[in-house]
Amino acid sequence: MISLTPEPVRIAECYDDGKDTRHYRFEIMAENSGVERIAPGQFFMLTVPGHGEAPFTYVSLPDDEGFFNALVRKTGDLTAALFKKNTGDVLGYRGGLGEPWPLATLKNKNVLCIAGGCGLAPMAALIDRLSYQLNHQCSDESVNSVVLAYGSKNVDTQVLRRERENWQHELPVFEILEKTSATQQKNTWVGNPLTHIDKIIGVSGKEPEVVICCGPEVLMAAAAHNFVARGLSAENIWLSYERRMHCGVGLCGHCYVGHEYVCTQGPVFNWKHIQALVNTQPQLEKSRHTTIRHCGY
Amino acid sequence: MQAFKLQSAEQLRDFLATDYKLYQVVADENNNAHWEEANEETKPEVITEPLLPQTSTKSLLFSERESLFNFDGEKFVATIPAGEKKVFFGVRACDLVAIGYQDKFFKADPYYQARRRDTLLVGMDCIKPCANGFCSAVDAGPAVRENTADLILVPPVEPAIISAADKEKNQWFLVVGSEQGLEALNGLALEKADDNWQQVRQAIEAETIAAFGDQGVFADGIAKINQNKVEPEVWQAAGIQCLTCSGCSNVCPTCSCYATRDVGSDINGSGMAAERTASVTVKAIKSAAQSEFTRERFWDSCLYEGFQKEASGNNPAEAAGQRVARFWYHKFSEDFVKDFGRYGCVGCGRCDQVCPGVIGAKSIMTTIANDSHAKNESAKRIESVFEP
Repeated sequence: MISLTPEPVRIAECYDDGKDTRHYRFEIMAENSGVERIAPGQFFMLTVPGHGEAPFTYVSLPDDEGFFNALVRKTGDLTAALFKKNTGDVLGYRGGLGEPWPLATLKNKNVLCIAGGCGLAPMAALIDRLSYQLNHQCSDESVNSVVLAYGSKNVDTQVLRRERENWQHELPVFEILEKTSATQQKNTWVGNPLTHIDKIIGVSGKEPEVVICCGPEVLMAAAAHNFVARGLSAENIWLSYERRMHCGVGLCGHCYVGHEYVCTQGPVFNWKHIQALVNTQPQLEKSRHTTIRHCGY
Repeated sequence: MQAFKLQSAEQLRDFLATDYKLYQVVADENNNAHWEEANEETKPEVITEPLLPQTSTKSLLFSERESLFNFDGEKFVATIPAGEKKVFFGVRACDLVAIGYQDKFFKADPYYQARRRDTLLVGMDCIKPCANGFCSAVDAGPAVRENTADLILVPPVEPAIISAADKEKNQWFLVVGSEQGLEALNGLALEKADDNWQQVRQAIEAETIAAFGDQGVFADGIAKINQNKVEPEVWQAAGIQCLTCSGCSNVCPTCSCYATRDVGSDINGSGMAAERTASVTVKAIKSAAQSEFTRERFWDSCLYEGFQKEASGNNPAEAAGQRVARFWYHKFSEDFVKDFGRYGCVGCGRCDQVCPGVIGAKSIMTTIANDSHAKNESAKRIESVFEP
């Protein structure tokens, strides 16, 4: 039987990390909670007592003592309530859930990671893992190369500052902003990751064999079309999807795409797979008339 | 399979009621039927007419609203319901198929399974078509399907329906559908049915199916949905007709979507949580710093505009027509057959009965089968009212 009952976690620490965004460190209070099975790309359901439960991704996976990190942007009631909590407060946790990034298929491959905005968070643990493999000569399981292209609206909305600083020392990192600002770094470009893709591939010197992408759906679709046009197979383009969820275990029905659920068959899908699912749904214009809204929504 | 002769359905019902909590269909003075917990005094007459209750037994297994766990400020404690030995007496073929469907969907859900575990299902063959049903078009009736009930009642057929008033047919049969069903009969002296009971039952079903008439629109509509041949305009028009009332998903015996909310004390609660705060104790409100609460789940509907809306405002299913298309895709697509062994629609016809926008199963499948979106004048008229 599955469990819909969370286990307690404690807020160990937090700090601001981008506009309306905080970096939290949580501690799982129960022992033997099976954290060793959790993989990069999976997610967890976080309960803020009295305010419900929502999915969040791991920025770092739980360690042996149950500590893990997550990035939270204040966007609704639950996250607003979380931002009012203090260090030491108890919250609820269920994880790890969903399908992770396809680590095994990245072996010996040139990997290009493309992230947009908060979409950097779900690939942070993966980048850490791949970077570790590269820099510690884990030759039997290592990727061949890793490049990160990170796009965001402006400097204020960039997230994971500390992680990006660390990665700058370990792998090629390209930062792209939609709008210029006085505070941006010298090596930052203007536009979006796809407008600079030739330059990024040229500078890194590696034609990507696998693309890992997470961000707004329009960015992910554009990236997928771009790389298919460059000759990459749709099975080698991996995307992480976001949907509203009330359970995280394939029961509540909210996160459907076609006949699958993002919470159990995703959130990581390859482009071929997700395209087939999306194609089962008619693409319609939005209603011109506002339908009657259910109270609470 | 074994079968016995029964004097009456009440003979079996009264026997089972001594050992099981009894749930039975009851009709009111307006001939509206519903499921009810019956007791010694109120054991009503067993309805053999094709009177489908307005709602199925869904809420008795997948509760319309239930708590999932309590939080006392430190610990989360699951609130799994206690199982009880009960019998659903006289469940129709379509609703039994729906229970089988939900058994698969909720196979790992401890709340559903706690209610389902000790439930005995006594089915009843339909011997006439009901008002809105089309079970035979989706292989869910009119006779109870194999492996969907523990016991099956086969009512005596009226001579008016069966031309040659065959004595063999004019008799209650009881068919044993499972080992649990056979065990439940332990202590009840019953005479074995005549050897030809299966042929008799098949003949009754064949005549009942014939009485449904032409149901070709379902086969045609299902084929078009699966070949992706439904024009977007059909869904767009259906979206305009959908009033987002959730009637279809509430009465649908296979619909299972739910949402959750936290009920109880809350520091600066807003919305539904705060709305519920009014009914909790003063003590609970005072202990707000500890945030004691109960998480509830309650039925939701994929037809609601906010069903997929994310906190950011992004809504993957913002267009009403998209949501209507999703609902029917879920009911009739082959994509779900590999997991459930059948379509999600069991042909009960309750959606046609309840939908104020006239886009229940039969209505929408007729539209799709006839490809009549261009002629859908009612939708055009509604649309024209909203034109700027």
